[in-house]
Amino acid sequence: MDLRKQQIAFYTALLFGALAAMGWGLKTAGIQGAMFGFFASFTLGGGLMCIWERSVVRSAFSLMATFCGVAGLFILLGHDFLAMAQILIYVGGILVLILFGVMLTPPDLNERQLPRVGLGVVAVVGALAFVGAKVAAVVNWAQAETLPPAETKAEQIGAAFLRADGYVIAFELAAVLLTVALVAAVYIARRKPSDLIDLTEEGGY
Amino acid sequence: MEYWDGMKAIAPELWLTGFALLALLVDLLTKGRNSRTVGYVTLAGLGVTALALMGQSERVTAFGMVEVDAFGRFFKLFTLAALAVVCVFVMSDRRERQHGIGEYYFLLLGAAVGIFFMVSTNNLLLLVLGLELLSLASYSLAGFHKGNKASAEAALKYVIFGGLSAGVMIFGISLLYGLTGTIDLAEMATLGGEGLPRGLVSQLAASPIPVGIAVTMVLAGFAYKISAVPFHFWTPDVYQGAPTPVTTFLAVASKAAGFGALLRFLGVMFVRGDVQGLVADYGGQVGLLIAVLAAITMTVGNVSALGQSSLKRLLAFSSVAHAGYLLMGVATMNNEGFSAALYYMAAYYFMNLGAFGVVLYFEGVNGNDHIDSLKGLGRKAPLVSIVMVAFLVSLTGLPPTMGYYGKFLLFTAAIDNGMTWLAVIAGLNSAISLFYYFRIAKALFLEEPSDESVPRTQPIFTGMLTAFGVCTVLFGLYVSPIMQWVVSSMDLLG
Repeated sequence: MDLRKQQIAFYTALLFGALAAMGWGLKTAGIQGAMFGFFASFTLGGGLMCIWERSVVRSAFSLMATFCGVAGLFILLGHDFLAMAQILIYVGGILVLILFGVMLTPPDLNERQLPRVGLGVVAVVGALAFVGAKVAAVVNWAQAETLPPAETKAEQIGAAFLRADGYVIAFELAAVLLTVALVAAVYIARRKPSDLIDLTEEGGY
Repeated sequence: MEYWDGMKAIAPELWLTGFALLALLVDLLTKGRNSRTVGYVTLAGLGVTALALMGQSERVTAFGMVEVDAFGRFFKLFTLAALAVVCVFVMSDRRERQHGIGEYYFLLLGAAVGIFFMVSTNNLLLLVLGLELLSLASYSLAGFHKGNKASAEAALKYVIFGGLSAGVMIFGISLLYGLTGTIDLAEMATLGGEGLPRGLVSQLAASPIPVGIAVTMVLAGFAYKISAVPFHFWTPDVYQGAPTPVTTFLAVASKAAGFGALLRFLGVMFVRGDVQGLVADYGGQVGLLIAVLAAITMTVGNVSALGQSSLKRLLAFSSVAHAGYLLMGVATMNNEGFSAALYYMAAYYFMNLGAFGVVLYFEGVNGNDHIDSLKGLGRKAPLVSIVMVAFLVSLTGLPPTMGYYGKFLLFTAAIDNGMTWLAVIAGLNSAISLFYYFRIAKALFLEEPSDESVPRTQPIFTGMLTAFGVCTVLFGLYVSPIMQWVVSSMDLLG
């Protein structure tokens, strides 16, 4: 099979998979189920595309589908703030960073052609999925009887961050972590001549 | 007033954070021209924090997340001591610039803040934050010599391995959260199987496999921090490539922090008296897994160390092996084994700080860390060489040193808990380690020097190393002070 036919077969399979998921969702849980099927196939389909496509740029863009799908799942769970944060951080931040990284690396056409995943990988993933399904059958998730009230507003999250019996310590520690990360990143990225002297080769001064 | 009470309870952490920022500010004001001042600020901060720590005596939970207890204090005080030593190493490292390295101290203090929180929390969120803070600071410290290829390579390897294992660990934690609906270890262990949040019992009653997967994944994160096999691949390269003071920090403070957090994780989740029966039973199986891990870790570490020609690389593999010995105490999953591990940790602090200090000294003399270049230094620098032999004896675990008594405690703990096979493996390993440790001693004393140059004396540095050597031997003969401290620090399980 030549490359083009492979490509067509892959995307057709993806499309039918998504349609099947939506149809199954519609049958079992109505319109909400269909929406779940839609977002879930976005999430998984984006992941599959990411490892299928051979160009780094295409892989990076297919991640966008994954991130948006996850955001959609959050909205279905009634957590609109989390969904916004997901889009803001992953699509707006991390994805752009990846694309910048791709753009800043010198274009080497031979190197950009990532090798296609082999049959061995598929076999391993299949085996893992089988074991995973077996394990998933015995997992006893801690589920609430009813969905929590769908009104987790930013205000409540903010209050939980600052309450003494909430997450104030974790919140402040995250601030320390960011400061340290910032200083570390600036140190690594800085290019002062004195930093670049190889002390070990010279044996000191 | 809740905030005020909580802040009083975590005063040492606040002091440490404050002094970290002060160090950064001083560096900014002096425009990086005088990094020694920053070093003195750091030492002062460590001293103040130690005083604040020693002023604590009651056992409280601050902000619902931070456990202030003697167990955490044990690790925190040793961390401060180790950091102070690392600071002195940086200041007296003759191959390090003395200017424009203010970030060095800031990052060390930042890492210490991470350690402080990760050894004193039952909350998995705070544990991960502390661990990541320590990791982030360590990554950049490992690559501190930007002009040096080995240092950059070390940092990159460290980042990739660290990111991977942190990801695995967080995945495991999210599984635990999904099974119980809580991120508090004590709740997971003690709650019953009904309602939300609930204990691990509910899952263990149905099938232990999901819990096994989750716990194994979390253990992978710890195994990386303490460089246990099969998560030790970064250790030799990073230890060799990083600046020697940073290597000391990674080998001593970072590894001990990993053990502190691991002991608290296992102790609170599986060993405490109020843990549900099923969970405690499952803890026995986790102990068996750790015992197997311990046996593999010490064997791989010792066998790999045999052929090394670089002193730092050799000590890196030796530290992998010591992680194995320490895991032997952890694997018993009871008070006796945990106490033995704690004592050995104290011994580990003294002998490894000392050994790396001597490596730094020899690097300053020779310009490299090859064992061959140590030839005849026993005659040129007798005091440091004799002290080094004391550390080597202690690392091997021969009397009359702290290392011997620590190993004695660990072996006894293993045998008492029906793991004689593990003690036998550890004994064989100690015999193997004798070969490579004494290769260093042989190079120092039994071989002819290649030239007649006499190294410059460094009184403060030599004095400090000698003090470590004396401590290693003295506390090996007179064990009760450290032993009493260890016993009083084991309030984790009470």
